[in-house]
Amino acid sequence: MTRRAFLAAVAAPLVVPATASAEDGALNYALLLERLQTTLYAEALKLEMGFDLAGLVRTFAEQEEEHVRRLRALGGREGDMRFSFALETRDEFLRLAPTVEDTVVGAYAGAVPAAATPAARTLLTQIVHVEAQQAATLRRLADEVAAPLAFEELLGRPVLLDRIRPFIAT
Amino acid sequence: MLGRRSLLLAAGGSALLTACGEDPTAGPDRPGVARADVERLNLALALEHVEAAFYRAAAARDPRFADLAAQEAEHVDVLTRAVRGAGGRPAAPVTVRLPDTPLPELALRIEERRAAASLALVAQLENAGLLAATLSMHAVEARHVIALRELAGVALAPAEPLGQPADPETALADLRSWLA
Repeated sequence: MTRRAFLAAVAAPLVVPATASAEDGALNYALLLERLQTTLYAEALKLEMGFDLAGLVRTFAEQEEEHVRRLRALGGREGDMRFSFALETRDEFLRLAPTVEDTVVGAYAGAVPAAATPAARTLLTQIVHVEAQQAATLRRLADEVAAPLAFEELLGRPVLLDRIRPFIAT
Repeated sequence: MLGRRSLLLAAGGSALLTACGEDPTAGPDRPGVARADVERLNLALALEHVEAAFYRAAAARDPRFADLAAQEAEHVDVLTRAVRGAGGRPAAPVTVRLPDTPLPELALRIEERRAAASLALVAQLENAGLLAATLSMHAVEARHVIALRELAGVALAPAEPLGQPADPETALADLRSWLA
């Protein structure tokens, strides 16, 4: 990533809310990220995952559902975008899940400044904390380093959409 | 492999320095940093100093802490430059003493308390650029907790759906007392 691209990515989330109120935009964007994850975990739970991994995935799915409830409670509204990962095996999930969660962490971190109220900002930062820990957990299950860099990537909406494009179903 | 400077440019460290005035390409309309935010950054730096000193000492005893020590040293470096760039006087480094307790458990306790304090500090920042940049550091601290849970032999995954903030001043006092 070049310096120019990086700075553009950092600035991008600030224009996300342009089509709605500032707070609605940040919360709606967060709900998009949550849908990405809930879809991943819902697909995984249909597979033969083994007792321990299924339990972990169920816990993460419940945590994402709680995020959705909190985001909705502050006024967030979900859009129409749907996702599909077409997972067929446990190994596919283990390979893909860390990348999805890493991407979500970067997207959340880049989007938090668009939150217009202290309540929204606090909620989003609390969610980032847990998303980062989910990502680290999944990385360890895939035998990857929990924290590969000293600074998390900050992703703007265009970069996010580019990365998740293969999984957009509608 | 990316060099250290490249890593800083590619991630939140760059945004932090930009927000605090160390970016030579920043325009004259770059928003300033409020005094309260400089104080919050400096408190974050004080916490980083304790943590970095701890990991430096821990890594000398156990090489499994070397990567964490290197990342905390980067956080210290960037925060120091950011505070200075914003016109503040950076918190000074500290020395610590390792107690005779198992390092993974102690490190986990330190990291959990430090991450909770960081969460509180980040959410209070008024400057949007600082918020995003410090969040990019906070997320790494949250990841460290998971790495340390593995070293300490406890369940990896987060148990709660939301991170729980802690008072930063209290956390700093706790860390200092544990390593005095």
